[in-house]
Amino acid sequence: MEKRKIAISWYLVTFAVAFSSMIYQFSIAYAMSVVFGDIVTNYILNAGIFILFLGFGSLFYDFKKNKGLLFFFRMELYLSLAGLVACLFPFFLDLIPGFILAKKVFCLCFSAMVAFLSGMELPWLMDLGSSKINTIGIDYLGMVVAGLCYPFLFLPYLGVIPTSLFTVCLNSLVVICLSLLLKKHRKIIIFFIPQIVMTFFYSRIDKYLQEIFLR
Amino acid sequence: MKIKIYGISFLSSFCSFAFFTIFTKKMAQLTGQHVYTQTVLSSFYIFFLALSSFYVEKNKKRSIHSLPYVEFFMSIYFLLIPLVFSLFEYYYNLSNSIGEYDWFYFSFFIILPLGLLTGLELPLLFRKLEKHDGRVLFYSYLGSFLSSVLLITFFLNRFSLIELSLIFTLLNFILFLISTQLSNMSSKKFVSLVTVFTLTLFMIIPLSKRAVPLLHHMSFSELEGGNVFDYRNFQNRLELTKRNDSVDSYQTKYQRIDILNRRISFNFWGREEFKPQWKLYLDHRLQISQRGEKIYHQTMALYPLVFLPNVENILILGGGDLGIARELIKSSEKKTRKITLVELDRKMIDLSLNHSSLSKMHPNKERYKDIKIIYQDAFSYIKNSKSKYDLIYLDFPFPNSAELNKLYSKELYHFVGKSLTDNGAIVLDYPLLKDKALIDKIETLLGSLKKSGFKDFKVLGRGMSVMMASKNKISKASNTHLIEKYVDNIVLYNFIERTAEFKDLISKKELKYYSIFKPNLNFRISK
Repeated sequence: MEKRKIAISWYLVTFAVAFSSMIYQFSIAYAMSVVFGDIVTNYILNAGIFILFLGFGSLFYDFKKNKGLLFFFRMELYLSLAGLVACLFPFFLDLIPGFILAKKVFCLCFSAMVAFLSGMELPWLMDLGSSKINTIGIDYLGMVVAGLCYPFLFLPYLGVIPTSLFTVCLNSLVVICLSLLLKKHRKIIIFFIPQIVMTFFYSRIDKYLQEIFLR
Repeated sequence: MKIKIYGISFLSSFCSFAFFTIFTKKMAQLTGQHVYTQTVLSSFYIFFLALSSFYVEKNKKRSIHSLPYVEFFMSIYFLLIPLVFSLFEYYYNLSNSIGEYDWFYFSFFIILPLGLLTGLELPLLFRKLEKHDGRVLFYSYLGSFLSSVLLITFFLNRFSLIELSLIFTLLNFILFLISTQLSNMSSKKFVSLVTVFTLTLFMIIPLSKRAVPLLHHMSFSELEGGNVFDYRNFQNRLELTKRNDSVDSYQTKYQRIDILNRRISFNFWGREEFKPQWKLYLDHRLQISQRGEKIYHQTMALYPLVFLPNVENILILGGGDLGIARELIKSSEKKTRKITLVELDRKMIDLSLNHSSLSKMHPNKERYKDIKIIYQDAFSYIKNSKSKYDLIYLDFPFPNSAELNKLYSKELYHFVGKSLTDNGAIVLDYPLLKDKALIDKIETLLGSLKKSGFKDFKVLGRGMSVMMASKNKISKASNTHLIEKYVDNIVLYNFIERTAEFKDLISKKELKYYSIFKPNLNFRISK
């Protein structure tokens, strides 16, 4: 029974990280197209960069030696921070006039960073999970649900900025739950509290960033 | 062996992702529902990938020996797609012949084999490897990345659907050859599969080459007046297309442009008459026709000038057919008007000036040299613009995708409002939709304008209607001589003010609006 419980938790973690990675990608692409215009180019450029760095992430994972639970927690911490910056920074960059190309490159660098970190998640989960192929399957399912939720639920009902904040929150909750469930590395929870607190102020942040954009 | 596995991983994701992107893009252009189509298709695709992964997991017997069959069926699938897609395009473009959501079922059955076959590839490769190798995943991701970038920057704009299908079929066939080596397939099986593939190739390619362009032409040959040639009468339609229409198609980075050149028209009674005319379609949606363009452009360009006598600095956002610019130059009299036009697609301007049919709209194009043309996204331009304009025309296709919806958002109107002089105004295409289900779209348009500070509105036009909006009170009509002098007789009937009909809507305090920060996907208007 305990074994089954752990397997289910593992699949839930796989589902949640795949889900949040996909939402990050959509959010970054959308935020960039809002700030810089040209939806088609920004979506394609972002999708391309994202997929490439997912690949680099999984490749880099092979060279990494210490791949314990703490490695995953750290990865998730960096991911939640990079995701937060990548989704919201385009709106702040809009305050600086000119330098369009530099600003785009800057945003794409963060998009690449998010993808790189996400790329390390799947091999890690495949290594530690009971079945590699089931892990891939759950990963795909997480992406499907994210792909449907983003345009039909999140964008029209939450909006682009709150969605990014909730995704960061989900990322943080995965680590907190896993740490409490496995009773390991509980101290790391402290680093995720600011991200969760931020989510409570989502409407204020949303309003503030919209004002910046319209200035 | 490892190199072969990496090669298969790279090439298989390259081909599958490329084909998925091509199909998604084509379907999105056809349906006009970009966000829905892309999302639904992506979800189908990933869902089928997942199903295949589970299938391999449950069936321990499945091994690398199944891979050549997967690649074989994938090659045949790529080969058949142009023909199947063109048939669907033909039926889809005939109004009433197909349900609004039939594209959904069609996509499901097209994506089903692609997703299932692609989903088998990676798990089968993993089964061949004894331990985890991150490079297999890396090459798979690299393949998808390169296919998405190359497809948009190189393949899509240069090759037709048949050529693309042939390229990816052959690439996939290389994949088949590598996988036969990897799985040590018997020579008997190998020869029979290669024979079947070669025979299919030589049967399908000539058939596609003839049928695909013809079906594409036929899908644009909708008739006015007489509807005797409906989709059931395929033979009649085929005959008519062969002797009548030609379609010039252009695929740009931003849109598909089709110009239908017709030699024979139909009168009110459905009888044929020899009256050549052209029609311009963007992403399969009719924009203007030779018959209607003057009504639209003269109403849009000249009606606001009746209320604003001292217009000097004019901005046209969109309007790549140059119709509004033509009317403004024609009516400029001795005044010096500075006209700036911002268009995203360079090809559209090029076609307006040089295409054999479209250029007939512009007999005096030498007068256009003073127009300042900027090739940029209208939203980015107006957001960063420091100039002030007396009159701004918003001449965009109707909103039916995220890209176009942005051009009807409260944020765009906010920036447009900031670029207006004190007495300045904006003019936009404002469809007078009678269908009750579409009234909230009109409300959304008006709501977005009001939300961004516009206070005074005028709705003009009997058939082709436009809206004029200003942050201050619009002055009374004073320049009526413009109508007498520059408006054609056939257009005159359209010069009627209809603001009174919208009084209730205009005075309503809480209206729906469209914001890019919280986009409503139901905000969609089809002409």
